[in-house]
Amino acid sequence: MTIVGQINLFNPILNNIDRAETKRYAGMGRSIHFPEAIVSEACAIVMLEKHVKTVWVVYEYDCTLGCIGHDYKIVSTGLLKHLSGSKQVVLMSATVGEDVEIASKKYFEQGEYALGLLIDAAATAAVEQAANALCNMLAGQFENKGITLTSRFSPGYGDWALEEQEQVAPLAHVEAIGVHLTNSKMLIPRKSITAVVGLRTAGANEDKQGCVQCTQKDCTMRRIK
Amino acid sequence: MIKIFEGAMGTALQAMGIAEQPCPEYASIKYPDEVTNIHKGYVDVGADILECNTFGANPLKLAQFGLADETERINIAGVTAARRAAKKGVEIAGNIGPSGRLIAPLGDLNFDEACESYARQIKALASAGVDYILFETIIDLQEMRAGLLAAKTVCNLPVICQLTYDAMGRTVTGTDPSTAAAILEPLGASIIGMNCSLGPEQLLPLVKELALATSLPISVQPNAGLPFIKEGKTYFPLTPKEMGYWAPKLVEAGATILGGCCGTTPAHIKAMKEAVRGMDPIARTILPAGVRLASRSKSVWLGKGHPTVLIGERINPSGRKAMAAEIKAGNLTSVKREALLQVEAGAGVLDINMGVPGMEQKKLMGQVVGELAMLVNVPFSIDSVEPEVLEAGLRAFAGRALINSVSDKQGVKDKVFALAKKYGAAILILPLGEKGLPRTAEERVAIVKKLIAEGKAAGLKDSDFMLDPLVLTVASDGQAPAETLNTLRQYADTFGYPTTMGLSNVSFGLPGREDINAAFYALALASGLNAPIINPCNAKIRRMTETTNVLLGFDNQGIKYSKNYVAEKNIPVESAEVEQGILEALSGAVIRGEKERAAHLTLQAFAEGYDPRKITSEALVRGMNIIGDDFGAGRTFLPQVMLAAEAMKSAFDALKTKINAEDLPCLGKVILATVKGDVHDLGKNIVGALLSNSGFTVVDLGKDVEPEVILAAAEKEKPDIVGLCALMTTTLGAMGETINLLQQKTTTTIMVGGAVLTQEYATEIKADLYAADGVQAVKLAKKVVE
Repeated sequence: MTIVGQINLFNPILNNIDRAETKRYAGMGRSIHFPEAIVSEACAIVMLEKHVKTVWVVYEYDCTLGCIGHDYKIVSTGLLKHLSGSKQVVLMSATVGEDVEIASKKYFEQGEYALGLLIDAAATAAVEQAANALCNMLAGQFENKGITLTSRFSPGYGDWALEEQEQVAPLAHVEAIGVHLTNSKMLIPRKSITAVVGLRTAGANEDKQGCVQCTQKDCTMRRIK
Repeated sequence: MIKIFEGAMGTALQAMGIAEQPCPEYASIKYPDEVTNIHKGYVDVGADILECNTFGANPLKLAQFGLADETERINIAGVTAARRAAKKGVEIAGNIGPSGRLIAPLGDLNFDEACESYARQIKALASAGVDYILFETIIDLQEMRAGLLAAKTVCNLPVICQLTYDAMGRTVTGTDPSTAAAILEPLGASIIGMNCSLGPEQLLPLVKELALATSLPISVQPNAGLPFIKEGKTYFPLTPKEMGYWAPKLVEAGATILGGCCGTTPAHIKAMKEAVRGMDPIARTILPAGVRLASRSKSVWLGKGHPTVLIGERINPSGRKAMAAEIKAGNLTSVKREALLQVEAGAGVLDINMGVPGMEQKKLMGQVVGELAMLVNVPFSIDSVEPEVLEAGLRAFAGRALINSVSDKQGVKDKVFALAKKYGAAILILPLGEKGLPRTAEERVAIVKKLIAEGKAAGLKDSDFMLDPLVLTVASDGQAPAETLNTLRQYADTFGYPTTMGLSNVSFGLPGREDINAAFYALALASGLNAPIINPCNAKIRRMTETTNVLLGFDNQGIKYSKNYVAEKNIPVESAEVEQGILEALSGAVIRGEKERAAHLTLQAFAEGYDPRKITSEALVRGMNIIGDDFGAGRTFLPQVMLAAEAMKSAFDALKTKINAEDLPCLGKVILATVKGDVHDLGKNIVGALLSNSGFTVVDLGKDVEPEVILAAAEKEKPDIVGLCALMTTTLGAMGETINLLQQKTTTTIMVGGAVLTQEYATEIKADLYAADGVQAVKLAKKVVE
């Protein structure tokens, strides 16, 4: 399953939506007086309306040139650092489809604002879960070859400019899962992501995860201050 | 005697530099002597079973190298190379690996296409005279099912089924060893096992788990430890001596065939062979009685000695017009919702019936089974009277399903028994003959006896049968329930198989059906019922199940049962605030997001003669102000603010039933839009909801709105404020463009906001106001209109 350039599809099974992450994406913090039933309803609606798909492609990575495949030269210093020690990378995309957005909008328009907001948050949690499921699958695939995976890194994260979706989305073959890019470099359906993961052999740098590494200190989703 | 497989082929070919010309399997054609020599190396150290160099020689995988047309030639060459090395008594296994693609709905490979691909490879291997078909390194159970079904279709050779597990003891797609056994043993595997990914130490507990779950022989082929890469080369750390150390432990755990996967050499195999010389397979614990059903990731026991399992009955459009109409329109939302609700309510198995008149049930059943298996992880009961509908469900289900059901119906029962055998399904026997309903327990037992004999003649085993005692309506036959209970007892005495029944039929035509059903349920459990087909969402049934599990000894000392009560007590009670007047109470209702109460109190205040303006300003707006301040201070969070806005809306809606909407106070008019190129509108919608529920009239232009459209709206509506939103850095330019245009043609105040915006950027693009969040947007808007 590791032929370079081959488009691979994987639709992970999600048996639930992460409630804690849903609340976090809704900006809820450690709220104590909030009806759990609304969180449950939002998660249930996303379970019903999600259409989970992922795609992944392996590319050669030239560490010294910072070049993915033949053409994509990385300028983000954060990403270059993240991929140091990798000889190949996986470009991936995950989506939960458009119906979750339609549901969020529908409830919002009906005046069920909190539910609409939480559906949006649960859909974000779902797309993250889908991407994590893909990474877990890939880890299983690669670990018996002595290869470990770095964490995911997405355009718009740290100093990797969102504008670079223009190069990243075609490399990840987002079209294979029904995702496309707008002129303003946004992924449609909205609850979709692209990311790169480094395939690392032994002796590579310690992989700092998530917010610790990110340079966007004022990000609303930041877990550490 | 413990048999020993040969060791790694792929890494040996790699070491010789002939693994990539263009693929390892092609070496059997290009370098047959070298391949034979690798085999010989293993024969010389005592390997009992050789594995042909055919791991990736299925047409789907070979197609990646443009070699699909040479499938037969490559497989036959692989067998020939092994045979040339084999001494007398050495057996040959036709080795088959994964196709490289995942089967739908997990991936894009069609199940039938996978079966055909494997069938073609297996035919070639069988024609070349292998002794076993060996599936190895399979990561998805559905792919293993496709392979095993293909093997059973095209040959009579014993089939070895080895899955690859990760450190958590599951395959990549979630199957654990016990569940694999529950599915593969009835499906016709001859030997079950595992290989690759982990070393012997990590596989040891998985072998122990598997040994408790199957009566079949177990094969294990670990890697030579967990690999690492040094200077671009992969190393497997375990020495032959170390592999030899673990070999007897694997046998003691239950393995009957040993071998080595990645990184093993003839020296490793020799050490393993010598370490287990003289050992015999251990005698294993006999499996507990009962029927085991399984999904891809979970197995469930049914029968005496196991807790009651609820089989959810709600996915059945018979008599449910709305669900039938939805399904007919291609909408599976209700079906999915029922699946989620029933599993959440404790269903251990879901019954799926797609009896929608006028629909092609076969296709529908396959689709629904596939989609629901992506949603919930319990096993399914495939419910139909049509054999082809049953087959569609059984084929699509990556697990061991229950067939619901077979009766003594000529021309159908043989087909249904054959399906159970082919797909490794359990089968529910219904004591219905062609002569109508059998009234007595004795008649029912006689029909069941006959059907079991016929099922066994078709190859089924004791562990495949479940029995239904027949439930008839008490309203039409007062003795019917007693006869059902009598049948349950006679089934237990005569057969001992697990029992199930759709018990709600008993109360048909009577009032208070829930009470009758619950009482009948308790009586049936006492008479030997194991798995009712029932609505698990019914609170009485749920409570009855929990209490009977305590009384029947399945919930030791009632620990699980007691937790329900603890949970109930822990539900936080709303703080009992002292609310002195109705307006304060209404403010409190808004703050807490109590919609119904807010509406009720609003109407009450109106009835008591309060002026709507006073109700709005001193109760509703005050409430929103308080929660807004709390939000600003970090004491409350956005979802709570939105709940308060909902309560506010519900209060306004209530007020509008008493007065004209125009008579409500209007603070001002705001146009809202997400700028051109930006498709995010949740943030804008939040601002809109908060503004409109704070007394503003909001004109929402939507998302991805052209600057010209916003200008036209501003000229037409003459708002106090135009609010612009952008979430992404890529659309900030469009925001600047819009502001520029608006400022050229109007004098309206422009407020901006959105995740990536900052005060600095807002100033740079000449926005009048910047709001960091919805609450601040309301505060700023109020200042503008003051």
